[in-house]
Amino acid sequence: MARKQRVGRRKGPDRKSAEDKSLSLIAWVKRAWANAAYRFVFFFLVYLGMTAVAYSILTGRFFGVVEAMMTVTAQIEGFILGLLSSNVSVSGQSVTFLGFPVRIIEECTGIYEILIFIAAVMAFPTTLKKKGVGLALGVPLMYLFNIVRILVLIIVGRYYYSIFDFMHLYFWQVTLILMITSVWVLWILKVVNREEAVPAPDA
Amino acid sequence: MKKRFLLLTLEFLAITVPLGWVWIEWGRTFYLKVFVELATPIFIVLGVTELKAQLVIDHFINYVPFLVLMVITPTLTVRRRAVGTAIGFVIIFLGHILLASVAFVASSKYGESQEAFNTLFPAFLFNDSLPFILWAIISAGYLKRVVVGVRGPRSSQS
Repeated sequence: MARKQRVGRRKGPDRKSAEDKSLSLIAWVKRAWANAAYRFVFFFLVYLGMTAVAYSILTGRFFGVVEAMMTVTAQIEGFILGLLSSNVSVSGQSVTFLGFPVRIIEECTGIYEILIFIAAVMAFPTTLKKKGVGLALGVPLMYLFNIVRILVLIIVGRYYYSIFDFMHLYFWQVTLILMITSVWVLWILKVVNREEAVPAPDA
Repeated sequence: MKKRFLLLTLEFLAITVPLGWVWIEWGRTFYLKVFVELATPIFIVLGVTELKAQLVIDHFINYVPFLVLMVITPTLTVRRRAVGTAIGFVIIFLGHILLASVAFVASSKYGESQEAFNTLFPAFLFNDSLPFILWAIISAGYLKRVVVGVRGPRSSQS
């Protein structure tokens, strides 16, 4: 009996401390959840995971769509470069500008930026209508940025080949974050916060 | 707000260009050596026997945009900026280990096929968005006050 009590006494504080820990963890989660920015990050990760997995599955089944996107991107680049020079040729997913050949691959279609942007818009706490506006305006804008990016790369590759490697990686990876953040913030400033402005009361 | 936004964008470009240059010229080769040294014990535990460097090395540059976002974000205290950057670097490093592990599994299973890219794609996407995610977490206060200015109802979250 005495032994049982000793054991009980020993277990008591441990259990209490474990309960305290779980309570403080719950309190911490509640505090974090109350912060809109943390909620945004949570939903962003959920949407990013969903879009990434969905994209992987869909491209596995319908790769023809991705190939068509690559071809269209190559044709758009060829058309714009054709305005600068007559020495431009497009063959499938390849563009040659004044003898400098470039092949448009899946990552050149701007799909990374677009999917991350979609997740960022969907995770933001606003109405579905504003999210729809964000996607309808933002996705083409991201694609446009991507077209400009490839255009700059092709021109740099043709005239300043020594810095092509830097430009390729810089424009691909570093500006990815800038593109997403700037279009996302622009959407928040111009669309999300616009209608929320309260009209000034009459004097 | 517009001026501030434009200024931040210009600051981002002005700092990432030289930093990106340094990374590409020297940083990535040096980092790869350090990465192999530090990550090898973890790779052994995970059963990763080969580093597919050519598949992942270009994605290791995400330290640069993260560092610059941490530097240019206003109103962060020095402590939060420094500790946040340090923790962010550790998380990015762990993200690189995850990416390299997925690359190993994908290339071992599917070679260089489209299936390998499809398997790698979520890991690429997660890795590439890590600077944005980490910045959003560390700069939560700034995001909430200045950028987000959340005024909408919580129930509108879908």
